[in-house]
Amino acid sequence: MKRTQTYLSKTELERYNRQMLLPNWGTDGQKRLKSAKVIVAGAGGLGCPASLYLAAAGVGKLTIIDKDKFELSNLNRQILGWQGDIGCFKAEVVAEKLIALNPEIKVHPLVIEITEENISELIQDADIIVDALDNWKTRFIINAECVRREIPFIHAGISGLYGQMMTIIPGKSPCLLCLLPKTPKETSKFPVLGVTPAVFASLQVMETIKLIVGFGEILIRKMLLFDIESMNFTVINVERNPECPICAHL
Amino acid sequence: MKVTMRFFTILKDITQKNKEEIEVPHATTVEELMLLLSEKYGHQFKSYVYNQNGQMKPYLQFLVNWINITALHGFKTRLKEQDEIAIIPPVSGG
Repeated sequence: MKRTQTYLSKTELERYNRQMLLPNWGTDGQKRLKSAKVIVAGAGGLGCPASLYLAAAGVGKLTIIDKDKFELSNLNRQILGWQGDIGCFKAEVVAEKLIALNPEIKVHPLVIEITEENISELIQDADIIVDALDNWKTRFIINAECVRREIPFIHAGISGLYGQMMTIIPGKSPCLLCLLPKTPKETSKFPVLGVTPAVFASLQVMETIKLIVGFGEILIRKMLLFDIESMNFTVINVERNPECPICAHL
Repeated sequence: MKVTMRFFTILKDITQKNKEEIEVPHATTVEELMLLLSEKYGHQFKSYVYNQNGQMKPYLQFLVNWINITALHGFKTRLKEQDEIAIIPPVSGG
């Protein structure tokens, strides 16, 4: 992550004091966070908790992308959507609440569908993209653009009480197409309890912050699987496909 | 010998179980186990695990005792008494 001449105010130093006490963090780490631009693609079950914790940690610029409005059936898990937000655009609602949580950061809502035509413009100055999507098609669109730009893509997917998570660093780890050369069937309605995306979103935020601040081990060439029902948590090795049409050239 | 299968998401719906202890012949391979399960659970299981060419779908991960079979002997991995086998589907919810 590039470092800039970023200044931390007295209130910022107080706000982030507890995390700055962590080893390998300090003011340098916090300045890196303040300089960082992260896109959260989706403001649903993963996107709400992910954006919440990224905002709380002080990521300087967050872009929240989601085309949908909150519905009643979202509220068991899309925790930044409250009763009075039903019928309102998720990205806008989330952005407003993140600013209320932390006015020190910039949050930019985009009520737009991510497509192959607009993805390049949407992520043009992002440092990291957080996968908070609910379908494979858009995930593959972002995956291809992240590989093209060589920027990290923090993938996660959930269903019920289960999920998987993987950090994609183009050229160093498998991209999504390496692992899934054939697109799995899309699921339109799946069971989900709020804590499932909350757990995975927290892990995604952890990976994002580690990459920005520069500490810890990243889940490169590994996929984390967690079945919350049985409390089985495992990390499996995953390898790049040397013939991947998207990333083999890196 | 007895081994334990773990099922997630759609396979849980197909088998109506999240885990099952199965009696299999000694030294059964993962490949053979999948054939046994296809016989037991029929077309729905078979079409979830196999593609139209009769091969395992490439996006499914198979774990034995939570180790990916690609780190073992692939589908020829021979099972032992009390092994746990899991079929890991990538899920897309968010």
